[in-house]
This record gives sequence, C-alpha cells and structure tokens, in this order.
Amino acid sequence: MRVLQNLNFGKAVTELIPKLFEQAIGIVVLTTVVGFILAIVIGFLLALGRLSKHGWLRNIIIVFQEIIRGTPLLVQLVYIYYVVPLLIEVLAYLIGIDNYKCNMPAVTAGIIGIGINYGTYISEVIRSAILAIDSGQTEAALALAMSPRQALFRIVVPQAFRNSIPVFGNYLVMLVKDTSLMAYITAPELLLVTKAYTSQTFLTIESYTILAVVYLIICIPLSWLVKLLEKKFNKKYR
Amino acid sequence: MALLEIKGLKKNFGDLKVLQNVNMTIEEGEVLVLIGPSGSGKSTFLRCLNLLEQPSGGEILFKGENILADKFNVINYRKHVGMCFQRFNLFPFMTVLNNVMYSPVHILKRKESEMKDKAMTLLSKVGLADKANVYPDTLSGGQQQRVAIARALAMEPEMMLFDEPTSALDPELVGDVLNVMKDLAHEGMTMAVVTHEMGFAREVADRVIFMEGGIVLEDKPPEEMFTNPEHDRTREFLKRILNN
Repeated sequence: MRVLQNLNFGKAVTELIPKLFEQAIGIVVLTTVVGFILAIVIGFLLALGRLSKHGWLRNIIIVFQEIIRGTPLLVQLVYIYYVVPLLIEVLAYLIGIDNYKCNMPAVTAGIIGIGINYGTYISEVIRSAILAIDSGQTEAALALAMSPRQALFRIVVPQAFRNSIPVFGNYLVMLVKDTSLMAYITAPELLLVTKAYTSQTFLTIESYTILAVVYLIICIPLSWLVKLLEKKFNKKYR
Repeated sequence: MALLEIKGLKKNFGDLKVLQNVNMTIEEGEVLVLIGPSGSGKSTFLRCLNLLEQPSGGEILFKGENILADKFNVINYRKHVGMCFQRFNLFPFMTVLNNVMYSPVHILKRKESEMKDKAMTLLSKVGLADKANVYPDTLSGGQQQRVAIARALAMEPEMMLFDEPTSALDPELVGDVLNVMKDLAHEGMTMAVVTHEMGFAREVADRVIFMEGGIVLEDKPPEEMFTNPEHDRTREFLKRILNN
C-alpha cells in the first residue's frame, strides 16, 4: 500500500501541532468561553420571557425557539456570517446611510450563532428547572413579605440555576465540539487549519487523526470535570 | 377594634366552592384553632388571610382596613402576618441562620449585626441555637418547623398563621413544635392554627372553630366545643378524631 509507506506522523506532529496551538486553540477557547456565557445569558432571558405573564412575549419567544430548533446550527452560522451583514447594509440604506459596509469577522459570527443556538436549548433547561422548584418556596418567600419578583429572583432562581449546572456541563462539552462548524464560515479554528495543512502536504491520515486526538484531549477531561460537577451539585445543600 | 374581621368570605376554584360564606373576628392576643374534615376549607381560609389565595368575594378587615381593596399594599400587610406551612418551606440553599435573617435584613432593611443577635435569640427560643450554621436539609422535620417558626417571628409579626404545622412530622417530633407554639400563645401572640392536635386546642385555644363544607359550623371555647358540641357533624368529627 502506497498510503501506508508514505505515512509520516513525525512530520505532521511537528508541523501541524504548533500551527494548531498558534491560533486555532485560542479561537476554540474564546468561542467556547464567550459563546457559553452568551448562551447562558440568552437562555436565562428566554426562560424568564417564557414565564412572563404577557402572552405576546411568550408567543414571540416560542416562535423564535421553534426557528432556532428547527434549523441546523451550521445553517444558522452561514446565515449570520453571510446574510445578516447584507441585511444590515439594506437596513442602513433604508434609513439613509449610503454605502455602509458591514464586516462581520467569522469568529464573531460563530460566537453569536453558537450563543443563540445553545441559549435556545439552555432556556428550556432553565425554564423547567424554575418550574421544578416547589411552589412552597415561592409561598414562603411571599409570606415573608417579598414581592413576587423578589421571590423569583432571590429564592427560586438561585435554586433552579444550581440544579441546572450539571446539564449546562453537558452542553459545554457539546459546544466545544460544535466550534468545528465554524470552519465552514472561514474561522481559522482547529478543523480549518488542519484542512489547510492537509491540502499543502497531503498528509491526510496523519492530520485528521491528530485533529481527532486533539479534540479528545480537550473533551475527555472536560466531561470528567462535568461529571464531578454533577456529583457535587446533585447532592443536597450541606 | 378586632385585629381581623372577616365578612362573607368566599373562595371558588372554578366551579368548586371551597369557602361559602365565612364570618369571623379575631381579637388581638387570641388563639384560634381551626378544625374540620379535610376539604372543609380551613387551609384555604387560612391562606386567604395573608392573601396567598385571592378570595373570590367578601371582606377581610385588618384593623378596620379592607385588605382586598385594589390599592391595598399586600406586601406591607404580609410584614404583619407570619405564616408557617405544613411542609416548612425553609430555603434549602441558606443556612438556618440566614433563613431566619434573610427577609428582615433584605426586605425590612434591618441592620445585619442587630438582626443576627435577634435571630440567635429566636433560635435559642426554639431550642436550635446550636444549628444556626447548618443547612435545613440536615435537620429533622420537627427542627425544620421550629426554624420556620423562628423565621416567621424574625419579621416581628402581629399575628401568626399555622397551616397544619405538625401534620408532616413523625409523632415523636410533634411535641417540641407544639411546645414552641404554646410558649408563643402564652406570650400573647395572636394565632390562627389549622391542626388536628386536639390536646393543643384544648390547652391553648381561646376559641375552637369547626369548619365543614366551606362554612363555620361552630365557633366556641374549647371546653364547650369538646364537651358539648351543638351539631351532630361536630360530634361525629370529634368522636372520630379523639378516638384515634
């Protein structure tokens, strides 16, 4: 087999890994951290909106959630990267600003897309966690002269949030892996850098194997950490 | 003037009429015990008194002011009326001390240092000063209920509502909670207690109220209620519950 004779893992390791660490890892970490924080903020706001007493707000959010959950994340990323800037330019034109060029960096588009997508899923986690808190907690808070808003934010939400943490962890691991979708919108993360290296060197087997291993090295410890968190937060308050 | 005056109180849940027409006055310092079969509306009545349930009709006057009026400040009113629940409802993510201190400090804006001393005094009173820094889930039901009483008292209420405070407890833990409630009654706290503890009613109550089918069937001092009930239904109920 020609392919086997030409295998050169040594070369691939010494050339590709520094490339990955130079920029790609940084982008993955940045997207994961900022995207995840954004997702929790969005998820929290959507969950509160869904629990609002205003029917119109609940309906708007339900429609929004259906759109996000009914389309693939990859399509959403493409949409945010290619379509949204054009829409902004059209909007700028309509309000009288001529020749406005909207440039959205790929990483920014990725963070926004991942934040919105994961935020939508996380909102359901937070919403059901809030609904799962015993109504006696709210009643006790009200009986202690808290307003309904204070009862929600000071008594119910802290407990719901803590109960959601183990589920957040699972989403975090998924999110790390989904940053690879940003390759499609030209963000130089792990997959795109690897792909570029492969097309120069034709070390296909070596490069993508290294890529897979790098993802494993990131994700396996992360899911161990999540399991630890799960153990800690599934316990009662002591 | 009566502390609370209840006139023609009604509460419906859909088609179900839980409270038909309840009239009652509660004087300052009085201890009322509400008894009756389950579904008679006594818990609902109690929850209407601090507006955890919104009554469907009638009037509740607190020191002459109608608490069901549109612009009545419910939150302010609840500062004066403490409540203890069957399932305690302590906040599990706060220590016992913080459970007691939280609302006085954050809602009533009391000084934290002063409130801490006060909370410790209250915890000593219910016999749990040594548990101040543990979390509620580590306590027995009886201990949790005593913390809940201390928590309600920390608001310095003028009146306390107890909704079956011992019903969720193991029998051997009931006594400690009742003792705390007896002390409170002897100190002159106005109390309305829904309970099946007839011994407590006999010993502490100024009036025992028998409710059935959403109305007050009888309202009299305990000796009279237990020795000479007027209605057959009351007699049947007391016989059944006292024989248990």
